[in-house]
Amino acid sequence: MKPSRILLCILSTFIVLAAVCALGAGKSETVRVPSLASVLGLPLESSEFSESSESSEVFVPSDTSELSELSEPSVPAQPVHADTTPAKPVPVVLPKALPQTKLSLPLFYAALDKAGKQSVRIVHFGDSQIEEDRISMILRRRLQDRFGGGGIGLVPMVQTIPTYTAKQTLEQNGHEIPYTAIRRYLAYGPSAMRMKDDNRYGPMAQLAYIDQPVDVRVELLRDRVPTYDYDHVRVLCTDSVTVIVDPDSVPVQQPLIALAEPRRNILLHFGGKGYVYGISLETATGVQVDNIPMRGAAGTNFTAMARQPFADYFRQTNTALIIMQFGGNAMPAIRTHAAVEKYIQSMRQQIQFIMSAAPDASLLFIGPSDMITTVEGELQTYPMLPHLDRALAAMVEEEGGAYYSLFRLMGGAGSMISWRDKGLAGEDMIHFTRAGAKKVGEMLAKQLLEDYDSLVESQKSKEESPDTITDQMPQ
Amino acid sequence: MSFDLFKYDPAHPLLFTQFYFWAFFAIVYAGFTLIMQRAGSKRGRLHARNIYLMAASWFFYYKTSGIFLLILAFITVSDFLIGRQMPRSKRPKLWLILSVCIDLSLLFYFKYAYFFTNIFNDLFGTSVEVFDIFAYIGNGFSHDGRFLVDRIILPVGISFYIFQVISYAADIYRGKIKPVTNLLDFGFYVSFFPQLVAGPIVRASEFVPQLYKPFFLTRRQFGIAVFWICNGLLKKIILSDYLAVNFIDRVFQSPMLFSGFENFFALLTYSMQVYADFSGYTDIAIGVALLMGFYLPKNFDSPYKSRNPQEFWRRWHQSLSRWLKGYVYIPLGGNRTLFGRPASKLLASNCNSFLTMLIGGLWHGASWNFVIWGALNGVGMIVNKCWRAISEHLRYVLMLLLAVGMVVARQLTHGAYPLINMIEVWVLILWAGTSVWYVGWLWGFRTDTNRFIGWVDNAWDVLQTFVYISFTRLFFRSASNLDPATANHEAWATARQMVHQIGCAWDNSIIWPFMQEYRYVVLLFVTGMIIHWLPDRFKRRYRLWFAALPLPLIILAVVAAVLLAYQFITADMQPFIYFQF
Repeated sequence: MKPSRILLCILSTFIVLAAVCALGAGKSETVRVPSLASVLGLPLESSEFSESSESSEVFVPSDTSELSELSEPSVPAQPVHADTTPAKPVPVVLPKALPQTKLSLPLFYAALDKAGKQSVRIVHFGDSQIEEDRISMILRRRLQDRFGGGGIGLVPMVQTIPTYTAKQTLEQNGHEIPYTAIRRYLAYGPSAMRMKDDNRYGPMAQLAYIDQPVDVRVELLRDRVPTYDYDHVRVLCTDSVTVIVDPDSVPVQQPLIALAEPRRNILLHFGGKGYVYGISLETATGVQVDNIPMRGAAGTNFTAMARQPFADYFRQTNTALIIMQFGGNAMPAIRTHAAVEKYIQSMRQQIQFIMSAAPDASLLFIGPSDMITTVEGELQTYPMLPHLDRALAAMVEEEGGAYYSLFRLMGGAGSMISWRDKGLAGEDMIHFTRAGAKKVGEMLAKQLLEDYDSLVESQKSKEESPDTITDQMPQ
Repeated sequence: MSFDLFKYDPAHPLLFTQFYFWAFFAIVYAGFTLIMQRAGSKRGRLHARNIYLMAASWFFYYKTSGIFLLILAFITVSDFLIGRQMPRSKRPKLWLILSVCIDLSLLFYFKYAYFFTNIFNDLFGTSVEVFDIFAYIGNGFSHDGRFLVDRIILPVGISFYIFQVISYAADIYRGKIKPVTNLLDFGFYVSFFPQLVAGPIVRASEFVPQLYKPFFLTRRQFGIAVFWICNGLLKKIILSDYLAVNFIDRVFQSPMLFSGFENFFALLTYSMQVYADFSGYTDIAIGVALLMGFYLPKNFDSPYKSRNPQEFWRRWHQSLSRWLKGYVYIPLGGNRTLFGRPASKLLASNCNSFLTMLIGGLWHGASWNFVIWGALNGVGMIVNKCWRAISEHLRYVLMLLLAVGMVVARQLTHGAYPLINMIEVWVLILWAGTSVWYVGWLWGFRTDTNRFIGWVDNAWDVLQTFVYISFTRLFFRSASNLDPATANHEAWATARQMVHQIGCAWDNSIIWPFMQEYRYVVLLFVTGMIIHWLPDRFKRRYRLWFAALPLPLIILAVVAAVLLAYQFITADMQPFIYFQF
C-alpha cells in the first residue's frame, strides 16, 4: 500500500468520526457520542457557566446574611421542597477555596483556658474519612503542642483498622491472636453485627464481648505524627470484667487509673465475662482527642443507641467539644431536594441527641468533602452536594452548633478532582489520601487555634485586666 | 490555542488514548507521505524520511517532557560519537565502558537519586536531601529561579531510551552492527516516537538496518497494523483504565478499607490491568510504527498462559527480557561463570538469573518494593526449576512436609501473622492439587498420553503461575506512581496492609455480595482473562480476518472501536461500597 492511500484511510476515519460526533452527540442515552467541541477540547458554551443561570430562589432556612457569605456562586441553588425528581447536572467550575467563618465554640474555648489544670476532651465522630486516626491525630498533636496533654484517647478493645498512631494487638497466653477471636458488636455497618436485646454500645458505637482471658497490647508509634506519652488509662467495661495493668499489676477498680510514670506501651489483662466499650490512654490535664470512625455510616445511627453511656462518658471525661464529620456516605443516595431534607431532619435528631448527652460541650459539624461522580459521562460533583452542604450548615447553626464546610474549604464543586491530581485524594475521588487527610487535619487545627486566639485577643481588649485567660494557658 | 499546541504542557502530554496524539499522527503522516512520494534518489528520500521522523519524534518528546529533550539530545550525540570511535579504536572496550558510564550515570541521577539518598541516610543516620544540580545550573547557579533545585524529576521514558543506546554501543562492540554514519539517522533510532516513552525496547541490531530500507507495507500488513492499534486502544481503555479507576486504584490506595477478598481480587485484577495497560500501549506503538513501515519487536505473548515463572518471563515484556538476557545475564556469566569464575551450570545459571531479576526489578522503579518484586520472580524461577528437576515421589513428600509445616506454623502463631496465614492457605491448595496429581500418577495417568489430563495439568500450572505472579505484583503496584521522596515508606506500608487484610481479614460471606455489587468489574476481568486464554491459532485467525476486510469496513470498525472505548471512558463510576466492618 502506498502511504498516500494509508493517509486517505486515516483522514477518512477522522471524517467519519467527525460526522458521527456532529450528528450523534447528545442524541442517544444508550450510546454516548462525544461532541466535536469536547473532542477538540474547546471551551463549552459560555451560557452553561454564566452567573445568570443562578436561580434567584435561594434556599434560606435561617440566617440570610450568614448563608449569603457561604453560598456557592457557581451553583444554581434550588428550593429545598421543590420536587422529587433527580437534580439536573450542575456545571463544574473550580472556584478558589472560600474562607471559613469563625467557629463559634464557646464552651470549648472556655475549657481550653483550663487545660492546664484539667483534662479537656474532644470526641471526633466520623465516617471512613477519619479512619486510621489520620485527621484526628493532626488535630490532637497541634492542640497538645499548645495546651499539653498526651496519649491517643479512646480506642476500641479490638482495633480492626490499624492507625497511624498506635499498634494494637490482642494476645492470649503471650501469643498474638487475630481480632476475629473476639466477638464484636457495632451500631453501624451490617445488621448482623448489632446487639440483639440491647442498645448500649457505648461512646465508640461498638463494643467487644469477652468470655475468656485476653490481653490487649497498645504501643504508640513514633513515625508520622508521634503522640505524646500518657500517664492515665481508662477502661470502659461492665463490672463483670476484670482488668489488670501490666507490668504494674494494678487491678483497675475504677474507670481512671493513674500510672506510675508516663508511658508509650501498655499491656492490659482482661478477665471475666462481659462487655468492653473502649480503652482510653490519656493524661490528667491537657487536651485529649478521641478518634471514633464508623465505616459506612451516614451519622444517623446515634439515636438508635442508648443515650446514657454517651452522657456518662462525656461527663466523666470533661468532654468540651464534639466533632461530627458525616454526610459522605449519604450523598450517593441523595438525588432530590426531598432527600436532602430527609437527611437534614435525621441529622438534626442526631445532633439534638448528642447535645442533650453533652450539655457542657460545644458541637462542631464537619460537612462532607467534595465528592465526584459521573453525570452524563462527565466527572463532576454529586449534583446535590452543594445543596446538602448549605442545608447542613443552616441546620447545625439552628441547633446551636458550628459548621465547618470542608466542601467549600476544598474549593467547592469539582475541587476533589484537583485534590486527586495533587495526590491529596484517592482515585475514587471520595476519600482523602494520607497527604490529603493531613492537610484537612492541619486546616482544622489551624482554624480552631486561630479562632481561639482571636477570642482571647478580643476578650483581652475588652477586659480591663487582659491577662485572665492567657495566664492560665499552659505553655 | 495554536500557540498552546506547540508548547510543553505537563498536564497534556501526547498520549495514545487522546485525540491530540492521533491528530499529531495524521499531520506527521501527511508529511511522511509527501516525503515518500517526492522525486529524487531513493537514498535521499530515506534520509529525508529519517530526519523528518526524528524531528516529529523530538516534538513528541518535547510535548511529553519539555526541557528533558536536552537529555535525549545529549545521549544521542554522546553515543553517536562514541559509537563512531569504537571500531577505529584499539581499545573499543574503553569506549564501551565510557558509553555505559555516561548512560547509566544519567539514569541513576534522575531515577535513583532518592533511592540511594534514602539508603545513605538509613545507613549513616544522616538526613541528606537530594539537590538537582541541573536545575541549579538552569537557574544561573542559583537556588531560586525557574527550576526547583530540591526535587529531581524523572524524565519520561528515560529507562527505555537509555537501554536502547546501551544496546547500540554493546552491539557495535560485539560486531553485530556497524555504527550509524549519520547523526540524524541515529537520532531517529533513539527517539522514534511510537516506542519512545514505553517501549518496546528496540535493540540497535533490530532497528538500525531498517533505517536504510525503503517503505514497504502490504494491504494485509496495513490491516494488521490497524488491528493492533484498535486492540491496544480497547485493552488500554476498557481492561486497564476502567478497572483501575473503578476498583484497583481504590484498593491499593487504602487497603484497609477493603476486606481480604477484595484485596486479593485487586491483586488478580491488577495483573490483568498492568498487562492490558502495557501491552495495549505497545500494541498501539507496533501498529503506528508499522503504518510507517517500521517493524517493532513483539513485546507480549499471552504471558498468563505461562506454566511457570521462566516461561512467564519469556512471554512478558519480551523486549526487556531479551535485553536483560543479552546485556546483563550473559555478561554476568550466563550459565558458565559466576562472578567471573567458572562454576557449575546449575549454580551459575541460578545465581545469574537471580541477579538479573534483581536488576530487572530495580529497573522498573527506585524502591525496595521493586527489588523485592524482582527477587520474588527470581526465587520463583529458581524454585520452579529445581522442583521440576526432582522425582515425582520427592515432590509429593516435600509438598506434604511443607503443608504440615505451614499448618504447625499457623497453630504456633495462633493465626496472628497474616503472611503465615496466607502462605498456609496457598500451600494447602497446592498440596491438595499435588495429591490429586500424585494419585493419578500412581494410577498410571500421564499428561503426555491422556489429552484431558494434560489439559487439566496445564490449567493447574497456569493458575498457579498466575496467582504467584499476581502476588509478586503486590510489591510492584504498591511502589508504582509514588513520589520518589517517600516511595520506600509508602510502598512498604501499602504492601504490608494488603498482606494484613488478605491474611487476617478474609470473610467468605462477602464474596457473593461483592460479585453482585462489582459485577461490571468482575465481568470485565473474567472476559479479559477468557480472551487472553483463547488459543493463539484462533486469535491469529481473527486478526487475519480483520486485516482482509475491505477498507471501508476497516474504517467503520475503527469508528466503532473508538465509540466503544468512549462508552467506558464516560461510564458511570462504580459506587463505593463497604463489605468489611
